[in-house]
Amino acid sequence: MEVFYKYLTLTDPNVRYVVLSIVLLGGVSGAVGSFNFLRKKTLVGETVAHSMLPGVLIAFLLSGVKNPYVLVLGAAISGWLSILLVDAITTHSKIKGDSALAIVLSSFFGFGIVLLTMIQGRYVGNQSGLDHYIFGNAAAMSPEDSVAFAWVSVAVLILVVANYFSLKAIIFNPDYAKSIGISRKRINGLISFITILSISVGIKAVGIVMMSALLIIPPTAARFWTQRFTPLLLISGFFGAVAGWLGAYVSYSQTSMPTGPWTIVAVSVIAFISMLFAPKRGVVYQRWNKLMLKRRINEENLLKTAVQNEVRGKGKLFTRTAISERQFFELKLWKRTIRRLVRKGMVTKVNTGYTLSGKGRRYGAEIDRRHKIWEVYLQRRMQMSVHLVHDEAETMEHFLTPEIEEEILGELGLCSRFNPILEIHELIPDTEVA
Amino acid sequence: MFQGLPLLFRINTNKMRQFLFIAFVALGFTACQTQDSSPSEGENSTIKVVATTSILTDWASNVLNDEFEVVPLLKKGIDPHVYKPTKKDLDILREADVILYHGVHLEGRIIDVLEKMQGKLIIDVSKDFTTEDIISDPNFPASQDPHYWFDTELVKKSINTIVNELVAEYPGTEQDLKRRVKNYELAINASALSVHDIIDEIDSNMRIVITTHDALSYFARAFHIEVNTLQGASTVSEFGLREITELVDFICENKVPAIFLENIVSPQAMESVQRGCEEKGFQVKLGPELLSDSLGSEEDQDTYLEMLTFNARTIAAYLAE
Repeated sequence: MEVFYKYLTLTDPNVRYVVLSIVLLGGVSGAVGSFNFLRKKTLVGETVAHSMLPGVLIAFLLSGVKNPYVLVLGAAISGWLSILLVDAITTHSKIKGDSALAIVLSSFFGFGIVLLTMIQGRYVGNQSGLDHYIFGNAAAMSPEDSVAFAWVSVAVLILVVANYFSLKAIIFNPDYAKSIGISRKRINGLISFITILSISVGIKAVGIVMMSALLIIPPTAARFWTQRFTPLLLISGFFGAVAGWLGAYVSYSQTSMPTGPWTIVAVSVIAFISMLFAPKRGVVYQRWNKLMLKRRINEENLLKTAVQNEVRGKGKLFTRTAISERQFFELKLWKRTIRRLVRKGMVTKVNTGYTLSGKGRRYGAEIDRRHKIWEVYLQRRMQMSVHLVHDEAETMEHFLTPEIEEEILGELGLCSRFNPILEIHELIPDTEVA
Repeated sequence: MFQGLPLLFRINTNKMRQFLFIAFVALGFTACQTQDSSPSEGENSTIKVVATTSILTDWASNVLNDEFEVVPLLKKGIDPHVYKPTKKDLDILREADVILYHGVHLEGRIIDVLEKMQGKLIIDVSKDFTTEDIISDPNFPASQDPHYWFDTELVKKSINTIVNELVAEYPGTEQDLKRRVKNYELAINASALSVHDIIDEIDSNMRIVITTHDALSYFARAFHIEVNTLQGASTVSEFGLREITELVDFICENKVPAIFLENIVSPQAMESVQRGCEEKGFQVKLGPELLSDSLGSEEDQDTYLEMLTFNARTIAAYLAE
């Protein structure tokens, strides 16, 4: 607890540098990543990050020093070259986008590894630490790093706010954007620029291999929580920042825990939680919804059939066999459905069978009514054959809302007290119904 | 004729270009090849000994006579923990008659290659050590610290192992090699004494050496100092924020005057430790690189004995205020 309090208040200077750096980096990459995510070009980040290795090493070879600004510049240049190369390959050859990305990624990274092995193989002064650019070294951030991350955040923020409308237009409706004179080239260039900017400063902290995770995973997670542009940007940035904060905490509270990889683990956990438990789009919610729908359909089918049997004069008492003549119920399903209906007070058990309560009868009759209204509608408006309308209506009866029902009746010129049960016999011959 | 000429001309230049390109590429390849193979054309009269690190090379060249030619595998400043052998290294190893390596898991990837070598005398120079000789993590006895060359007694054991093995293989060399070992042992003893003298000059409360990776445990044991590090015995092990903050707290509490870099480890982490101490109101000096897993390239650090005294002198200069 004391460790947590110390961490929370940022009393330790090294904790301060690391937390500031990684939280800013997580936030910026999360927000920047959502542009690529929405353009469905998430792998661009991966390619750019990997393509920066030769840039870093060539910058080191040319300058002979490990000045972070020089190395970042080298990284940015080779990252930018990789984007140009991907564009050139996709426009001038038959190679598709994902293959082009893969080709550029592996060739640049491979070249980088060749350079790294060469540098390590011969004695080039103070070369140690260059391999940190591959896996990152987030625990050893300095105040200069925090300042650099802060500047990048400010720059990205300004660029995004200034071009907010154009970005939105290009991403969601490029044709419209073109028609009102927004340059697609300029906005795509802008997205590439902020992507390169955040990756080139980020690789020192989390490394080339893991950098793209910070661009790809936060927007993916955020997408489960919203379907609007601005909230997506904000939530994505927030997730990235929280992951950075958590990663640094693990690294601070436990021994021998690297900060960067834990940040990536944290952001992945956030993504899995979002995928499973987000309201509306989460897997759990959707599964639950589906289950509820299935249950409701079974209940409605049972009630409807019972009502139909009553109307047909087969008596108020019904059993599984009687219902299954028209609507087959497996024993297990029957037991479960009837138990729920009894609990809801729609059905009561009488000796060997069941009987509908007033509530259950009204509900069943309502479903039957919807079924028939849809059948009538299909016949009169869609000119469908009498033989086909039943199956269609079997599904639609569960989805018609009172509002739609009202509208259909209006269109058919029928009064709202229209009772299809009486009318149905003139539409479908008795033999057909049986 | 007039229509045909330009066409002919064009075909010719295209073909010419292709030819030139292929010629250049081929020339490039042969150029590389000749460059690679030229140094191996030496006469075979000497026994070729390959030693993995620059330190081991220095020991070998001190105790072996002219009948042996000692070649290092790793150049100075290269980290043996993570080094991946290249094709050129394989060629060097293949041409060797004798291969010397430190053992105790120092050479991470190189061992895999050595295991596949056949028909050569391969000597693990630490094979005669006892379990008490080797420092290991009390929590994980399997993780042994390979930096034993900072304990001069163990170095003497190693050079005896080298010579005994070689004498068994090449009996004619016995007298000369034994004499050379005696001489080198005397030199090692002299250096150890001077290191003791240098360390004794430091105030006994201040004998704390802080470096990035745990290379100086043997130095600490042999010369009675304390060490505190960021990383474990291998440079491969990760350190996190916790290790950095704990080290900063340790420095500030004990008022350690200086921290040291190493010639094979990135200075970045130590720089952030220094910044952390500064922020906490304690000025700690960032010392120069100590030599840990490789000899230095400067004049006064490029033999094993100079490395010992260089480290001792550097430590003393920065710890004595």
